[in-house]
Amino acid sequence: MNAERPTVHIVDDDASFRKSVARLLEASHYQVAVYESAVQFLDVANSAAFGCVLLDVRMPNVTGLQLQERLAELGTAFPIIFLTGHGDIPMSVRAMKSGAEDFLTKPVDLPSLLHAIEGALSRSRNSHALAQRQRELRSRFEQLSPRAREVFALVVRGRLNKQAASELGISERTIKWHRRNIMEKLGVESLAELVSIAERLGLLETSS
Amino acid sequence: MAARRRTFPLDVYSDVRRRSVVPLAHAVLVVLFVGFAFGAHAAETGTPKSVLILFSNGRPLPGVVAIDNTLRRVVQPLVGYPVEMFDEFLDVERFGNTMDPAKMAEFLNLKYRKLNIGVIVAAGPEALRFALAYGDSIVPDIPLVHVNVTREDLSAAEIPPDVIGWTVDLDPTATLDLAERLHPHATELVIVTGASGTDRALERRIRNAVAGLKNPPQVTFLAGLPTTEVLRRLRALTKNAIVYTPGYYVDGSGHVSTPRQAVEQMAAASGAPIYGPYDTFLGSGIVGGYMATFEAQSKQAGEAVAALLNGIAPAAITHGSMPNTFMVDWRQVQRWGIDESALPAEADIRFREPSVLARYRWQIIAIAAALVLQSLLIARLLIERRRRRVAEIESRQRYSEMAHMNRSVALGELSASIAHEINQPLGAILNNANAAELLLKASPPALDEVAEILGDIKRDDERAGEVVKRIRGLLRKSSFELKDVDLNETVDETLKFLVADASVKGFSVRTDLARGLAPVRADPIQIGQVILNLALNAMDAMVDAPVGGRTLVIRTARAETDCAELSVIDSGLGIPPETADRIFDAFYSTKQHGMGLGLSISRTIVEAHGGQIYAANSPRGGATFRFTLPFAGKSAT
Repeated sequence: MNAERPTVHIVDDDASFRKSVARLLEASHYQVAVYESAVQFLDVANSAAFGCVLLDVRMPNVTGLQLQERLAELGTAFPIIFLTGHGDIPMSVRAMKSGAEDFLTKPVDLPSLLHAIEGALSRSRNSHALAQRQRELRSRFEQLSPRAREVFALVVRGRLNKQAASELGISERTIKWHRRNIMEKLGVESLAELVSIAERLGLLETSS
Repeated sequence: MAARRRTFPLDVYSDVRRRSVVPLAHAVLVVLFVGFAFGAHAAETGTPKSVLILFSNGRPLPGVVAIDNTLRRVVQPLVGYPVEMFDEFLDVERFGNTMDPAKMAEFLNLKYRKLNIGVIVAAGPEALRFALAYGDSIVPDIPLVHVNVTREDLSAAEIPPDVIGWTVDLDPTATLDLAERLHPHATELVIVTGASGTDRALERRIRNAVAGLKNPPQVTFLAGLPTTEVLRRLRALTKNAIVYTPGYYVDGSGHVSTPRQAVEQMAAASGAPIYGPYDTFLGSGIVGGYMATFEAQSKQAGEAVAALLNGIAPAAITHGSMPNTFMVDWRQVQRWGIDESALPAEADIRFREPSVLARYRWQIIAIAAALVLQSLLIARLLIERRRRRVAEIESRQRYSEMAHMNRSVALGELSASIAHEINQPLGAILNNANAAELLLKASPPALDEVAEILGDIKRDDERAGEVVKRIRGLLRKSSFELKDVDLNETVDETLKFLVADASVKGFSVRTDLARGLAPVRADPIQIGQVILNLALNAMDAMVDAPVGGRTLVIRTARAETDCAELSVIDSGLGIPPETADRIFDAFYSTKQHGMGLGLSISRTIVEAHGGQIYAANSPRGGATFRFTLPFAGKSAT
């Protein structure tokens, strides 16, 4: 799952094209995975290796654009490169608005394809790294004791030790000990960093 | 007066008189008759006058008949009371030598004395001589009118002033001269005459005339020969000869005929043209001659008779000689190759067959008019037919253009799908080619995989080619061409255009094809077009249907009417009842961008194939479009 090389997920109902593009990308030293339909990819999207999706717009049952919407709903951040045999302007506009990485027309020349894939993968890598950091922070945060999380929540909202102590009904000394302990566990040295983490983990919106 | 008349010499009857047994008794009888006649005359002065016609010849002669008929025809209308006319025939050709004129006169007096004879007509020289000699014995002081008597007949005697008549000219000179001119190559003149006294008299006259000819040719007289000999000699003649004959009454073997009959026989046999003096010969085969017709002579005589009966004095009645005209039988002119321009200008041409134009003038005009009308009609019909053909061709062209346009439009609707279908293999080819390039650069080059790639490229290329071929087939401006077509195959082929588009749009297309369906007689492209139209129509109808319920079924079957039947069944909203009547009309469309051509052209195509097309709503929703096509075995348009 956490492979070093990003994967290009190829979703195309045309076996011949699917095979040819997989072959080309493998020859270009990419890791590839192939899917016959949008549904097949959706089934594994959550657990799929990070990377980008090379998607045929025109497919039976669930089209490329519909797949894009579903992926967005699932919150999986796969950059999508659309490939189409015949693309019209409304279709491409809609795809780009929905966050498509690129919109290419078949037959596509190799440099354009590789450029698009590179762009998508680098974005994927960035977001992948970001997500990794996020996951790390979250797991560290989840190691905190319930009392420590309560203290964290009050501190990042700007409560003084005294106020926090009175709200929680514990002594100011205990508060100070928790703060030191939290900062140590989360690896930060200032209150500002602590607030930033809280924001990234989405803890500020939920007021308790 | 009677005594004076008796002194005239009578060529023929002088013999008779000489032979009469008792001249004295004869004279006594005459005196007796005169007395009788006077008495009769006095007694009958109040009664209408009658006419006695004395003929030299017998009744059967055509000339006699002509004279008799003409006199009877001419006289009566000119006289104010009914005129009785009596005929007597001296038959000189038979009895000239044996008859006793005095007895004859006696007989006639007995026969006619009770009648009020006003005029005696003497037809022929012998009759005239008899009348001059014995007329007073028959009826005293009777005026005489003669007819068919020549100037020579009269010249021998002094004619009393109360004898009236128009003399005829039987001199052959003019005729012979003309005949020589008409036949410039003729070297021989053949004269045919008979054996009776009359015949001999004619012969003498002709011999005199021939002797007087300015440049006489070689002349041969066939006088008094038996008919068989005459005919034999005539048969031997060539066109280098000319024949002249007055006919004859008696031939050398004593056979009696009429001159006309004799001439007929001669004309039938002769190798040379024949000329003659009597108009009664015309039509028997002679060429013609200078002559005065019996009818014309008789008409003159008849007028004189009428004048006498009406009380005009004989001296007051003018008379003279009949002019001759050249009369000619046109058929003989042609038969003998006579130059028409050499004929005298005043020639009386008989038997000229009127030209067809003259004879059937009105019929010809009518027929010509009918022909012209018919021709006009035919021309008009031809023009109309041409126009119709042109219009038909034009309409077929329009129809074919419309059909083509409709196919183009249908393909336009499918263009996204078609582009996809072509670009799919093209994209694959490009990818494979790029991959192969990379694999060849690697070390060691992955040749096995490159070989596999090349195989894939070929296959994709064929696939793209197939699509292009299919489209070209549909876009081709082909003429209407009927062949035996497997309807199921056409359905499969047509669906290839549709499936990609249909599946993308969320339609499921199902076929339900009858097995072993006999071939239909059809143009496969046009029938494919109908299927395509109906399917696209169905898909348009199902756009608003929920995604799960967009089903298109194409079904083939054998219809009850012994035709193949194809149904396109959709699960759309069906046909709104208010448009049901008009959906097959041209330029009627319920779609926003529709041209209203698809269904109308489909109907035109199906009907051109001898089939029918129907639309109906299905009981469970949606519409069914059905069309039939005759099987190939049956005759289709």
